[in-house]
Amino acid sequence: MAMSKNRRARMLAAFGALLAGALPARAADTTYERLVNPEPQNWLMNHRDYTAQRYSALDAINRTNARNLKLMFAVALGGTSNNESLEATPLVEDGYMYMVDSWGVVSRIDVRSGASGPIVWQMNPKLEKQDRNRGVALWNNLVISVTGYEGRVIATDKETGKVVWDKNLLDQADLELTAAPLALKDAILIGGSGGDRGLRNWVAALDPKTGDIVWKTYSIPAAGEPGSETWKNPNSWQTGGGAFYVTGSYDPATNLTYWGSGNAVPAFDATYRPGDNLYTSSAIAFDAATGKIRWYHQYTPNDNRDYDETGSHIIIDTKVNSEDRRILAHAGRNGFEYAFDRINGQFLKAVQTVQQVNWTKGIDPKTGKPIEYDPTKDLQLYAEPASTVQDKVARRICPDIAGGTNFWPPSYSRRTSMLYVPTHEGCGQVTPDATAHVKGKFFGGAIGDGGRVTGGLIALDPGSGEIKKRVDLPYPNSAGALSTAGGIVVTALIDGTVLAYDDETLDELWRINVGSGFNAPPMTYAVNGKQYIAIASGLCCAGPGAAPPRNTRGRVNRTPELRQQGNATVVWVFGL
Amino acid sequence: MPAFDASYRPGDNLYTNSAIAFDAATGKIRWYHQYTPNDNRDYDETGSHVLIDAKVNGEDRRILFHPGRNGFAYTFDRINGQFLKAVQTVKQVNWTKGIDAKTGKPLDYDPGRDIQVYAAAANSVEDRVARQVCPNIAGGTNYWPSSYSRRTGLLYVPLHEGCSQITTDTSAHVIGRITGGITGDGGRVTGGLIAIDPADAGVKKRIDLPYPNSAGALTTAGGIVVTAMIDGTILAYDDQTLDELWRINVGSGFNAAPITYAVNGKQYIAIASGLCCDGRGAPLPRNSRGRVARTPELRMQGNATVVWVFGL
Repeated sequence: MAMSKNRRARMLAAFGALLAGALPARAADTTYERLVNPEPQNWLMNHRDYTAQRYSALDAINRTNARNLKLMFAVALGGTSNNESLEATPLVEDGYMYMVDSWGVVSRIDVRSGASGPIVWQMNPKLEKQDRNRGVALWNNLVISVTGYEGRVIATDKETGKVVWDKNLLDQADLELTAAPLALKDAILIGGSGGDRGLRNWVAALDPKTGDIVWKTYSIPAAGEPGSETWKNPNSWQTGGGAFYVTGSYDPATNLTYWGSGNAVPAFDATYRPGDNLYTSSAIAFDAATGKIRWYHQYTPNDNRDYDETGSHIIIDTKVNSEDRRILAHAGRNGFEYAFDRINGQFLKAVQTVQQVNWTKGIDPKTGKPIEYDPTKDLQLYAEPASTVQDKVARRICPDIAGGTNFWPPSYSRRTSMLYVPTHEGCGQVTPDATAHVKGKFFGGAIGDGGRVTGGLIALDPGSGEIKKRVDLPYPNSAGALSTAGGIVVTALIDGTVLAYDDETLDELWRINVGSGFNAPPMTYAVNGKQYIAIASGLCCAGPGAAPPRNTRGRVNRTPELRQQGNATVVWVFGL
Repeated sequence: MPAFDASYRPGDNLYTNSAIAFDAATGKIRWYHQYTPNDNRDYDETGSHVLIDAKVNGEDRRILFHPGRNGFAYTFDRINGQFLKAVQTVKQVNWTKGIDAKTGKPLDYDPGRDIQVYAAAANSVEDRVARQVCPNIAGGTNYWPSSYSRRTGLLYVPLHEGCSQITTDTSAHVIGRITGGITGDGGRVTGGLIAIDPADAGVKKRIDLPYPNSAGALTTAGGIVVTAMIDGTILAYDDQTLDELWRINVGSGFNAAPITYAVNGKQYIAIASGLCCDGRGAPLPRNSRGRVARTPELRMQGNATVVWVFGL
C-alpha cells in the first residue's frame, strides 16, 4: 500500500527523534570558537590553547591539597612489541581522552567515570616502523593524527573511529611527521621533520575536509629564493634540514602562526654549508592564510651543535619595561630564553637559562644574535677555537646537544606571570665527520658520551628576562611543564618521577615515582567537576645501532643508576 | 598429554592431575591422590596445595587443601593422604555429577575402563568431535593461588566461571605440539571469589566478578582479602562479608598474585601487571590474553609489565 508523502515524512521524523533519544549524545564538534576559547575542563589541543602557554584555569588541585594527589587510574597503551614510547600530550574533550602511541595508533578513551579508562576505539594506521608521535588535533568531528616515517596524515571520525581521509605528504625520502597537528579555523597545520637525515623540511596547511595541501612553505629556501644566499655551497640547501617537530602557536588577532625550526644539516659539520643557513634554528612567523614568512629571527646562524629551536614559541601579553607588549617567548635548545615583539619580530630580551654554556659568551642585547656572531664569516666559531669546525676533532659542547630545552614544552602561568622552563643541565661530546653526508645518515659526525645530564626547572619573568627561581633536578626533565590557576607547576623526569611544585616558591608539594621514564608533557582536565592530572610514560627510543642514542633512552644510558630501568607505555591519571 | 585426546593414552595415567607428597630428603612419593584420572579436558592440578591446621568433625586435623582446575576443592589428611572432603567451587560443572564423598574420585569414575567418559556423552572421547567443557579448560582455579586466612579460618579461592570448547584431533601428537586437539571460543569467562571453610568444605560466601580472576588472593590480619582481574582492576574485600573496600583500575591486566610487606613499619601491597602471552599463530591463545580476546570490551586493552605498590 502506498504511503502518502507527508505521512512517510512524519514517520521518518518520529523515527529520527526516537533514534536521537535512544543513542548517546553525539560528541560536540570541536569548532574554531571552542579552540579559540576552550572550556576550562577540556584540553582541546596539544599546547592546550593557541597561545601554547599550557596553563589551565582549573584550581581544584592546588597548592594546599596537591600533597594528597594519588593515582586514580591508569591506561596501558600498546605493550605488544618492544621499544614503544609515548611523547604525546593526551587531549580531553567532554570526558573522552584522545591519545596516540609510537605506532600512530589513536585511542579514544572513556575517562568519564574517573575510575578507569576503557578504550572505546582505536584507529590503527598499521605502520611498519614506529616513530615518535607528539599528539593529535581535534577539528570539528575529526581527530587528526600523523604517522611518523610514512608521512601520512589521517582524519578519523571521533565518534566512530572510522578513517575519513588519509593523505600521504611524503615528498622526500626520510621525511617524518611527529609534531601534533595544529587545527585552525579552516586549515590543519602540519610540521615536517626528519631533517637530520638530509632533506628540506616544511610547514604545510591542509584543507581539513579533504587533507589537500593549501600551502607548503619550506624552512630552506630553494636556489634563487630570498635567503638562498645564506647557503653558499650550492649543493647544500636540498639537504639543509630545518625540521618542525613541535606544534606551533597561533595568534587569531593577526592570523600569524609561530613555529621554531630545526638545525641546519649536516648537524655537526658546518663546513659543508657555509653561510647563515636560513631559516634553520629560527623563530618563524607564517601568515596562516598564505604560508608566507612575515618575520623570522635566527637564533644560532651556521650552527654545528644540533641546537635546533623547534620547541614551542609562546604567546604572552605582558609588560616589558613597563609597557604593554604582545610578546613571543621561546626557551632555546642553545641555552637561552628569548622574547620578541610578536607582531613585527623585534628582538626584546634574552637570558641564559642553563648553568653551563660554552659556545658563546652571551646574546647581544640589541640584535639578539650571539655576541661573537660575525655576519661576514662563512663559518661561525662563536666563543670557540678554530678547531671547532675541523674534521675529526672531538669537542665538548654545553648545553648538551639535546639542549637547554627542546621538544619538552615550558608553561606560562597567567596566575604568576612566570614562564616555567624545564631544562637539561650538562654537556655533549661531538666529533665532526665530513664523510658522514650520505642520505639517511647525514649527521656530519658522531656523538660521544658527554657525561651525565641532569635537569632543572626555572621560573623566569618573560618581560624582564629575569630568573626568579631555580630548582636543580637529579635527572633530565624531558616532559615539559604544566601550570594551573591552583598555583601548581607539574613536571616529570626520565627516572619516572612526577613532581608538583608551588608556583611561587618552587617548593616541592608532591611526587610519585612510577619506574618508567617520562618524555611526554603533563596536562590537566576535569570531568563532572573533578580535576585530574594526566601524563604518559614510555621513553623514546631504543635506537638500533645508535650508541649512545640521541634521545631520552640515550640519556638514561648516561645515567648509570637508571640503566636497568624498565619501560611501560601508560597514561597515568592522578587526582584527589 | 595429549591433553584433549585420551584415546592415545588409555589408563589412569598416574601421577598426572594429582596431589603428590614427596619426601623432601629423597624425592620418594609418600602418598598421592589423583583428582581426574584419564583426563581429556586439560584439568591439571598444579595449583597450590595449602597446609592448614583445622578442626574436622570436631577433631584437630593437619590437612592439605587444594582448589582444583576441575571445579572442586579437596581436603586431605596431609600426613597419610586420606581423602576428607570435596566441594564444588564453580557454578557450572558438566564433566561429572560430583565427587564421591568416600573415595574423592569423580562419581562416574570407572576403574574398569581404559577411557573415562565421566558424565559426558560417549562421543566426548572421539576424534574431531567438538565438546563444551565446564569449567573452562583453564579452570576452575589454576596457577592463581588461593589464600587461607588464619584470622577467619576461611580459604579464599579466586575462580573462573565459564566453559570452553574443545575439538579432539588425534593427529596433533607431535613433540612440541602435542595438545591432541584445539580449543574454540567457548564464550565469555567471568570470575568469582569464594570463601570456603576447610573444616566442613562449606562455601560460606561467594561474589561474582565481571572478569576472570587470574591473580590469586592475599589475606591479612588486617581483615582484608586482595585480588585482581584481567581488566586491570585490583580489589580489596572485607574478609568476613566480602564487601568491597577499595578498587583501582590500571588499564593493564593481572595474572600475578598480590603480596604484602612492610618496610620501616609501613605496610605495602604489591602486585605485578602484564598478561601472558602473545600466542604466536594461536588464534585464541590458551592464556590470559586469550580470555581478553573472548571479552569484547577488553580487546583493545594495552599491556604494561609493571609492579604496582600501594599503601596508605
